[in-house]
Amino acid sequence: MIKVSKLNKHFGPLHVLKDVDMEVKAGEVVCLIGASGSGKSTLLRCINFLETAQSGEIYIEGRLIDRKKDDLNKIRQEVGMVFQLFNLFPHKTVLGNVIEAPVMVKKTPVKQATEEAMALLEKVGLADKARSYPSQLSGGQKQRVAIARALAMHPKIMLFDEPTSALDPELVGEVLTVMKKLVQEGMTMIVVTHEMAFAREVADWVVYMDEGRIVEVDRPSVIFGNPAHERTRVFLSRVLEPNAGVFGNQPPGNEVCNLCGCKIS
Amino acid sequence: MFKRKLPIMLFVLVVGMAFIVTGCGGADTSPEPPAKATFSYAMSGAYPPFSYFDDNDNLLGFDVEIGTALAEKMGLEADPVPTPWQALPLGLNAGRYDAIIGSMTITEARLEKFDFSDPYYRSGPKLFVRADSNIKGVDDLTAESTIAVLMESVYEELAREYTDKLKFYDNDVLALRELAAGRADAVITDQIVGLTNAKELGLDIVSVGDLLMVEEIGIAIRKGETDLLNAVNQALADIKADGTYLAISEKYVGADISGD
Amino acid sequence: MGIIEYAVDFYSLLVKSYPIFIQATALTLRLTVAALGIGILIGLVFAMMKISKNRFFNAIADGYITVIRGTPLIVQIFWIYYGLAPIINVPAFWAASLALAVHNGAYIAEIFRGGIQSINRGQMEAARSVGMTYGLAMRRIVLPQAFKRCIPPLGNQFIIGLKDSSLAAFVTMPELFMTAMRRAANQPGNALEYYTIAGLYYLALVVVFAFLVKKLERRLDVD
Repeated sequence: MIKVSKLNKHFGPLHVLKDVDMEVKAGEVVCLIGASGSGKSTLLRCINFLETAQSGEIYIEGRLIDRKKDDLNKIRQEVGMVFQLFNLFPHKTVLGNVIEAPVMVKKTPVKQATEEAMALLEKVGLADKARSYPSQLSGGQKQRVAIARALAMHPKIMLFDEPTSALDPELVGEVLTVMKKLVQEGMTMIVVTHEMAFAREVADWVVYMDEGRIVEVDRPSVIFGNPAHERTRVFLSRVLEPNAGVFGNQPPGNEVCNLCGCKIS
Repeated sequence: MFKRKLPIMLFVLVVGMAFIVTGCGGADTSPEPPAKATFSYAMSGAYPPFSYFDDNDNLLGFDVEIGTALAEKMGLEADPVPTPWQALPLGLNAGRYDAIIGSMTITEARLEKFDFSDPYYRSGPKLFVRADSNIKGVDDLTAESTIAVLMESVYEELAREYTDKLKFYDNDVLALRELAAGRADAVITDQIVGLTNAKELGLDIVSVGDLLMVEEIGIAIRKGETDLLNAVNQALADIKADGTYLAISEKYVGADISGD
Repeated sequence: MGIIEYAVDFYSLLVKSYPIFIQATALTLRLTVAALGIGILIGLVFAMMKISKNRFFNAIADGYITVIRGTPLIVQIFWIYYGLAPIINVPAFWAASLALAVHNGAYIAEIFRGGIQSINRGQMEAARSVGMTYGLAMRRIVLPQAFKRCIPPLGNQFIIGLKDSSLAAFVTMPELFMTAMRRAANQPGNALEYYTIAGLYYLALVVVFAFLVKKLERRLDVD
């Protein structure tokens, strides 16, 4: 379905993706894990062409995509994306957010688009909020609307960029539930996440990235049970150590957040 | 590639609209004579009794009616175009009108830029002072005297012969008021204009001495338009001969100002 | 003259001059609406050029904004009315409107640019991610939000534009200021009073307009 080959991305002097290779087959769920700044989000955004890689190739359904010649808007219609900060359109209702692209891009009749949108909102449990504005919703509800908005274009693959990182802990569950529903329906998904339990439960493959490179790709049982690389082990022990807490198991005075690698001051 | 399309589309839209809008406007309000059916001429509209607007915004005055009479003699439709004094030469150069009939004195400097008709009236500047002033004529002016004059007028040069302390005003009324208020020692302006305004404003000022010079006031026409110049001169002679000129002159100034 | 007599005289001037001043007010309004209407389009185009990634467009927009903001409006009015006359004879109304539009357009371009850039990048990314083109995303998602933020500064610009339209007097437009000038020239004794009357008409227009802008702001603030 999607194949990435020798992808390199620089932001000025920063080399954020280094010769990244990855393949996702139809119906597979791939979770990208790794510390903040390891390049996971950038990789996702390159697949959607929101970022331009300086070198490397991206194949979608076996076809090499040429940034200059191919209609990226067409491609993006088939690649849904969910953002960490939701990015709902604040001047449109929940329903308006969902039908915007089908109506404006695909020229679906409003009536038909509305019916489909209501079915999607039903699926994410928000049919009763159709007439609300995003500002009237909780974070979890916003993210579920964002998922419905992406699904409305009937994408062949869904990209999730840390979909629960900006949520209060008690709201994470409702979003993960919706995502699990998509997994059960056989949606192809690439998920950048810090939710290790989710990754262990639903992923077909887990990709561990560090400093712009893919360190290890394997089944969740292997990654979480017996990873081949020391770096993967260290990362996971920090994240998963039950008693460690967010800043545990580290020399005092130089703690780094176990989840994302941010320093405390 | 799509980022480039939107600005281009909008640009085309706006330029297109501008053309449509100006095109339509031009069709119904263009002041240009397509086949010289009109004789358009400009004056300031702020120089009574030569050109001014009455309370109903009708344009009146000696200059305006002279233009009407000339147009009639030339078999053209009169089209007076009130234009601020400072912009009068600009508009003539730009072809906004055919002539300036705006009480413009014929000077060497102006003759370099435009042709002038035969003088259509003669007048002259006089010195105006407050009634209680010690100044009884130009001989009493010193380098310390402040003279108020209309900007861009022939009076400016004249005033410089007596002093460098000049104050410039947009119209004679302001200059005369400054004199009455004591912020200037004297005003040099046209005799007719000074007297009529002083009376109208109720200012306690008087004119002293003789005419400082005799000015010949002409109709300015773009250089090279000899046919129009000849036609105007002929029409001017005609209205003087048939009494039209005298009637207009007496109506607005109360005397024959042709100076012939 | 006592203050009461003066007030009575002033009032009678105000009443007597009402018919021509109300006509002049209509012209001032037409000039302002035409100028600001075209100005908003011009502003939009140059704002898009300014935020575009195309260097050529950037340079054009920068040049335009620099020249227009750097030269006096009266000079621009003269350029269009007198300077352009030998090429195309733009009638006085449209010359004045166009000059005012070109002038206000430069300021409006900056207002729009600020408004567009104040909208979170994520909005554009979200719109692109569902397959919208740059233009569609701009039109449907970014501009409506940006426009709302632009209303207070646009209202301010409109007021400035309204008063700047008095400079159209110098290209023969009998709008409010010109009408006052004509009255003043005709009745020099009341010159200052006539300018004051023109000022009162501007003041009334601005007060009404500011009220409308405030109402619009409040209405758009609901959601």
